[in-house]
Amino acid sequence: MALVGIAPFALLALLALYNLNRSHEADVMSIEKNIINQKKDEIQSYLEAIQSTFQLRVSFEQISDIEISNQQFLLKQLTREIPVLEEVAFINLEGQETAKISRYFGEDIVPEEYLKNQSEIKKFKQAKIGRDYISSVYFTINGPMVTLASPVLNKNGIVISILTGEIYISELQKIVEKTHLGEIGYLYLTDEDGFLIAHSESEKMSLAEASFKSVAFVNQILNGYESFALKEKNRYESFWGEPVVSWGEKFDDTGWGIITEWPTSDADRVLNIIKIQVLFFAFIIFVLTIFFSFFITKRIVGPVKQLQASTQLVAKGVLDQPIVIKTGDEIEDLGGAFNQMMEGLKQLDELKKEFVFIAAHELRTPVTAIKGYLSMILDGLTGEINVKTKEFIQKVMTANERLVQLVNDLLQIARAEAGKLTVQVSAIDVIQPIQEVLSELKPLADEKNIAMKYEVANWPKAMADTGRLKEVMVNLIGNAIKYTIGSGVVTIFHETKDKFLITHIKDTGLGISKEAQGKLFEKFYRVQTEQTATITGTGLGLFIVKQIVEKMNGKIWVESEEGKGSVFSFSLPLAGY
Amino acid sequence: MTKHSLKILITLVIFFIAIILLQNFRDDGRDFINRNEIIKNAHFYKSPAKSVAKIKLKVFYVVPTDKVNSIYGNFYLMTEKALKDIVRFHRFQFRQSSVLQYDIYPEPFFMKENSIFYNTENTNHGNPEGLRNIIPEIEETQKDFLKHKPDEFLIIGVIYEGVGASGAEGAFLLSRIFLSEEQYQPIASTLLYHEFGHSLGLPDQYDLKTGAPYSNDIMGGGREKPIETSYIDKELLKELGVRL
Repeated sequence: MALVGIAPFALLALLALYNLNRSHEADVMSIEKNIINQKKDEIQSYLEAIQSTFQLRVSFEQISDIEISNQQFLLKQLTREIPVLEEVAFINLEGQETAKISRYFGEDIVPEEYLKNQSEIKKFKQAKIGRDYISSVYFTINGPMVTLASPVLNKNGIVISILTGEIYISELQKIVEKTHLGEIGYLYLTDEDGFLIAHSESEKMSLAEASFKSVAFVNQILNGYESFALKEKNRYESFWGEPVVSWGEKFDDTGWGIITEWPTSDADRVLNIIKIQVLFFAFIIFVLTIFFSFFITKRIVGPVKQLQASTQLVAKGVLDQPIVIKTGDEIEDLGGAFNQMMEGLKQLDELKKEFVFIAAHELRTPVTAIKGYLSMILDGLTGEINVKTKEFIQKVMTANERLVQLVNDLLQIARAEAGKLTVQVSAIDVIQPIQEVLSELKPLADEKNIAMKYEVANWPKAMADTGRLKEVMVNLIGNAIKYTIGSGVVTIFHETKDKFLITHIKDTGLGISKEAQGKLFEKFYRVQTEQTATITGTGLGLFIVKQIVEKMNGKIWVESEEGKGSVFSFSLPLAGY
Repeated sequence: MTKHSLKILITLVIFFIAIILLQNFRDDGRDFINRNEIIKNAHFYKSPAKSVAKIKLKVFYVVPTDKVNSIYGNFYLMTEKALKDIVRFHRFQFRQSSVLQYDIYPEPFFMKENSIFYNTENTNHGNPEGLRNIIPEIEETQKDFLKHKPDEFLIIGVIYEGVGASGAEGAFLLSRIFLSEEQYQPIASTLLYHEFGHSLGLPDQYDLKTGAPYSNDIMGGGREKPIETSYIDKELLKELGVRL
């Protein structure tokens, strides 16, 4: 019953934990995704703003370069507007730098002899055909940089020159700096090869010189996988050696990656607390459920088991042990009804016993009289009788003998059950009564050619009733002779054990099956086999023997094997103990 | 309680304990990284079999016989300053995949011949002839100083008391003037690394006739910038086994 209560609860706890996990994963993902989207927008806006400053369009229609003095003026303006410019230059359509400002030259106009031909450089080639150019990130000791180049267009949109610059993108560090998830989560930006451009915790920049492509998740993000497709792999040990849950996205135009990593110790902290609470309460309720289930079980099942035990006692004829159930409910009423039923049965049993006793007692006088008169007829006191009549009377005589025996047995049982079986126990030497029984039964044994052996020795005295002992021995030795087909040996011997004198009656007769042995001492039970079919008996002898032995404070038992004979044994208390 | 019930009860208790354990020790499908295993896999330009993961640079201030009177007294400090710059630059660009260490020969190394022998009058192509003549002389006389571990890639650096700048596999030459003269000071370390780059096999990234760069990294247009703002081109790094 306890288990019925626990199983659904355990499933409920499991379901709660599962849903908690799912919900938490979704929350973490949402937080990380929102931060990434926000920072990605800021970074893209920043880059677009820088690029837009390089997109010049002049008001004239001529396809000629801007005057050098104007170029130099514009470059100075740009240098002032964009402090992260390391170098900025105009390149004509032949690829020759025409004006340049470099911080190396103290933000002054670079002398003409230092101007280079850039015609072989990719930035020139791309801008010349009208496309804006942004290079891969290159890492200098002063910080990560990119090269920008844009075409300068005339009024008609025709490329007349190229404006290019080398720009520090350290500003990106400021964008991502101080971005946190929870207490210790962070965000970082890598180039397309996984090298750090910016990190929300700037002190970690100097510690990460290797490519983040060594982190499988980052590598897959940079290779174009969506985080959604990787959400089963977004928990790993970070580059800095702590378990994290992460999210990431790739920039389409530059190929950069933006990654959030949230140490699970922080990201899952609340979840872990809730999990522990759920498991704690689940466990408490689990224990309480077991406790109360056992309590309830005891209250319901206990009385039922008590009733079951009583029915078994009733089946065995024990009718004087009423059950006591105090549950204050229908089960207590049932117990009361059961006791009433038992009382009724007891009365019926007593009526039956009384009837048997009276019937047996009343039958004994007429059957004894019949026996006497038949003896007299057979003895010829009524005159000569012919052979046929004698034969018939002899059969009547035999039948009457059995009837006498049955009546005597029934009387014996009735007395025993009524508590009127009298036993006068005293310290006796058992050898004498047993020898008398052997003498009495010797003719019967001789008739069947059965030898009887009695191993006489100096045995101690036992507490017994001589008459009852002889009754027991007559029954047991008589049975041994009766159930030995053909010649055989009946052996009687003693032993002492645990303050008891044990008497064994061993025969070489038919033996008794295991099943029959269990019922052998019950009233009216007889072993029914082909071989015992012709052997007469009432089935009451062993029952009476058992009653007598137990009345003398002894026990009786049998050990037997079919076809090999039986050993009936009974114990009697030794005198003096 | 029957034995059967007890078994089920024990199973449920184990089930609860298992849940607790699973919650606490969930395998998160992590990809573990051992940062100690980042392979120092840098190699000579386009030659993966030739490791430059550990580089031992032996630097000599080389003085031809006819230049003894022109010896630059502060050569050691001057050279060391530039070498420190290039070690930092190298480490930064090679991303831990190569370590550069240097030894400076403590005295000026006097050559057996005059400047003219080392062909230093011809500097159009950086004085490669000078390098070819100087290196054997150093190797012949400075065997002890040139000793290095088997896993180290040896490079001999020559700070030449003369003119010129050139480099070839395992050796380079740079005129002392580029390190000491005021006008070259901002780019002295850049020029030194440019020539050092040749000793790793890196080619010039500019047209030798017109000077027009193919790239603006330290082997191209960037050789004329301060080393702090210069870099090694991504494509060259790939050929050096540095970039993924």
